[in-house]
Amino acid sequence: MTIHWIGALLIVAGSSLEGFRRSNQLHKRQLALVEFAQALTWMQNEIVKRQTPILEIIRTQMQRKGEVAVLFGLFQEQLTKNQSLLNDAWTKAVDAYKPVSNLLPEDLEWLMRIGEAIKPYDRQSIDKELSFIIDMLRSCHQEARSRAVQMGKVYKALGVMGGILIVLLLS
Amino acid sequence: MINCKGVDGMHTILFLFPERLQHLLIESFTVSLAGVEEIRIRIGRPVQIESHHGTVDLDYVPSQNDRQHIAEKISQHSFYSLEEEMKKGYVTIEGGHRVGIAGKVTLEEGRVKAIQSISSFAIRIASEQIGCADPFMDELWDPIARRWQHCLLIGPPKSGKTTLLRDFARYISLHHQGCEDRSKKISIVDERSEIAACHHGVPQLTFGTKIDVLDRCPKLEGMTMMIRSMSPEVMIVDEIGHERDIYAIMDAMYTGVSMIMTAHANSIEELQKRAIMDKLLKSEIHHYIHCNQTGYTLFKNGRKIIFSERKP
Repeated sequence: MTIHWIGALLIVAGSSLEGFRRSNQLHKRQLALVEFAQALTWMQNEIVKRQTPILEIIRTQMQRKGEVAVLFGLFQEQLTKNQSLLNDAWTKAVDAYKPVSNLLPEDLEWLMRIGEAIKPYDRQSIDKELSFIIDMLRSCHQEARSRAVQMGKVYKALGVMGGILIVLLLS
Repeated sequence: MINCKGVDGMHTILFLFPERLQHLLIESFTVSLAGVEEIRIRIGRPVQIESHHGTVDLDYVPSQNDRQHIAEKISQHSFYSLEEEMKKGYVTIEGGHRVGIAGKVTLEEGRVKAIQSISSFAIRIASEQIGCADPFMDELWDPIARRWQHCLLIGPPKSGKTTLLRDFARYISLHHQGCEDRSKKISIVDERSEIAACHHGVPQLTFGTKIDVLDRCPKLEGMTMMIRSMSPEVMIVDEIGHERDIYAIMDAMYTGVSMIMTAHANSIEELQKRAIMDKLLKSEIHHYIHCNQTGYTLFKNGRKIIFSERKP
């Protein structure tokens, strides 16, 4: 009898954990998007207003917490260790970042465009391109936030209820 | 000497180029790029090398990718950070080497705003000939007044004027054992970053301790700023010619500063045809050095005093 209870508890716990994991992933995605939007806005200002060299920007971005630091760390590695060119280094960094990211493929596609955006020789072109990407990331963030609000609770409830339902069906 | 050596004694300039071009340059000119004066990269045309022995075309035609490679290496992946320098048409990189740039520009109110795409790079390798000014120093030193006398270096482009000027700056700013008087506070107004070859404001070439450089500053304002702020005993300026420059130089001379400067001209007679320059030459300058491919000749009051052969 006890074994049945333990089994039931494990099913409910497992299912609930999966619900919480999915809900958490939604939360992390919107958090990552807002972090990237902030980091890129700062980068845009540094490039356009202060003409800060990219390696210096990377060093500062790496001091941030979260996924921004991970991506910029990979970017620095490509630029300095592998001696890749800017766009190439960024593309490779985003590719390496994909497996550890909480972002969706459509978010990553916008991030991928940053390498091309910071390549031009004049700041005005960089400004325009980065503004566009930041706007798109912000709109992704809006969508991610409302999705997290709506679906977060649904996933959690579904996880717990689903577990209970399975236990009931099995009993 | 300039520290141009990177890994395995390779000239730092080589790191700017794609690997295949690096190998070709090393094969033709060794890792230290001995004798190379200028490397010209033109997209779609063979790379051209100007050396002491003449001009050579390499079997390498740079592509758009190579352009991006070189542009990124020059700017450490941040070409936008060189936008202000780019408006002048060149950038000075670490080691004091100058990279001239040509391509398609964008204009704003009739002035160059930015370079949109690059088609050519002219990489001029900074060189210094330590000691090339030594033969003239005794003649230019006034032992009674204990000061350096004004001197004008004249010559056509690439005749070695700036190289000689740089060595004057080195000699005067150095401490001289036994004749300490010769060491003076020296200010360089380096409008084009050519004399001291500054990178981030720091001179990259060999100088003594008593040197202050105002980098990329217009001569006129620079001379006034230096006199006010650094109280120089000797001031160095490159490529004078404009009427305003001459008046500023005369003002500086009246404040007791010894002036050493260069001017573009094939001969002294050519300079004398310019009224204001003639006034300067007659009233204040007794020494001038004529520079050409063969060497440097010092004249005092129009009389030839010393000739020094130019080293390759």
